[in-house]
Amino acid sequence: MNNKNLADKKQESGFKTPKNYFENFKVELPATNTELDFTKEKNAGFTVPKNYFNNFEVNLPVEEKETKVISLFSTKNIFKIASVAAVLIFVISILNKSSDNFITNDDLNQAAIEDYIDNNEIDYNSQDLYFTFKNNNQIIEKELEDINREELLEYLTENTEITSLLNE
Amino acid sequence: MLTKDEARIVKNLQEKKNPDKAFNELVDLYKERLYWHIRNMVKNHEDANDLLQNTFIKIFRYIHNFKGESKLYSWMYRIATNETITFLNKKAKRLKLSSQELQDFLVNNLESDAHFEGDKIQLLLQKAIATLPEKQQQVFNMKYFQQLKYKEIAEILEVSEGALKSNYHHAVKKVEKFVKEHQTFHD
Repeated sequence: MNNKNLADKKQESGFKTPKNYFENFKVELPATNTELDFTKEKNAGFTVPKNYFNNFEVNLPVEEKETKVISLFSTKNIFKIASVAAVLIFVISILNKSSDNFITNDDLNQAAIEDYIDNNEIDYNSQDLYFTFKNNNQIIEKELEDINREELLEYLTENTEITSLLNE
Repeated sequence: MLTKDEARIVKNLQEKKNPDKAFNELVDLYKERLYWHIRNMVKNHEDANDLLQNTFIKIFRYIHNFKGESKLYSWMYRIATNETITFLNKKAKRLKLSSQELQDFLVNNLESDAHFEGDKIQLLLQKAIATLPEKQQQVFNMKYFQQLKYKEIAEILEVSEGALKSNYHHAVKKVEKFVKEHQTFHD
């Protein structure tokens, strides 16, 4: 069957096509799963700065180094803890004497603290906390090294309240 | 579940074999898709850019948690979605606005946004989307603008396809109603 015969038959059937229909015919394939039609985004009206996607790169934060784990219950640390406890008790006793000048727990409740943090946009992240405590630890360690151990032991023996507190 | 390229990239990232190269490949593969997903939610480019950065940083940090039980794109879309929702909630709180007021605020800013070139109808469409509940907005944006399949959206949002279709149907009806009413009013 040649083309001429086909054309003749169609003419005979009386059916017609719009002018240039076959010349202009093309299939509009729907967007496939793997290649999404991002041009559609333009229909939302949003645009991006020139070359935004070409220049886009992610600035990864510097990786935190793993910290060395130090056992809390070494002899050295017990001395440190005892001396810190002694200092704390001393500070608390001073604070108790002049507690009238300070805000008490009754004045501050959890909701008020949260509200303050929310409204004042206090922003912190774990890295800030890590560095803050790391620096403080270094200062405390230095101060503890200056304490004479024998004097400290003597002090603890004489102050039974402190030793019983530590044993609790 | 994963394409050949995705599987290779994930393996290299998890086993830390030239992770920088693998990560850059991942960024190149998904930056545009994730960007438009975020942009449709936050409306402005600056916030979308910040959130895209944060999303990729989280992807890099948590890639070792990706077990391949879901598709990689749905896992990443979920991270982007959560990051964006958290951001919008914080923004509403900071500006002392309800979530609906925030949506109105974002859309009203579009008219003066240098990176929005939509005409009246496109702006009206954004205003209509802003009236939808959060979930319907997400579904509408993913289906209408990103042309994701119901199955893909269901995976990302972790809902059933049936619920999703109903959600989209309601969203479309509301958007059409809004556009019809306001278009006549404006014309």
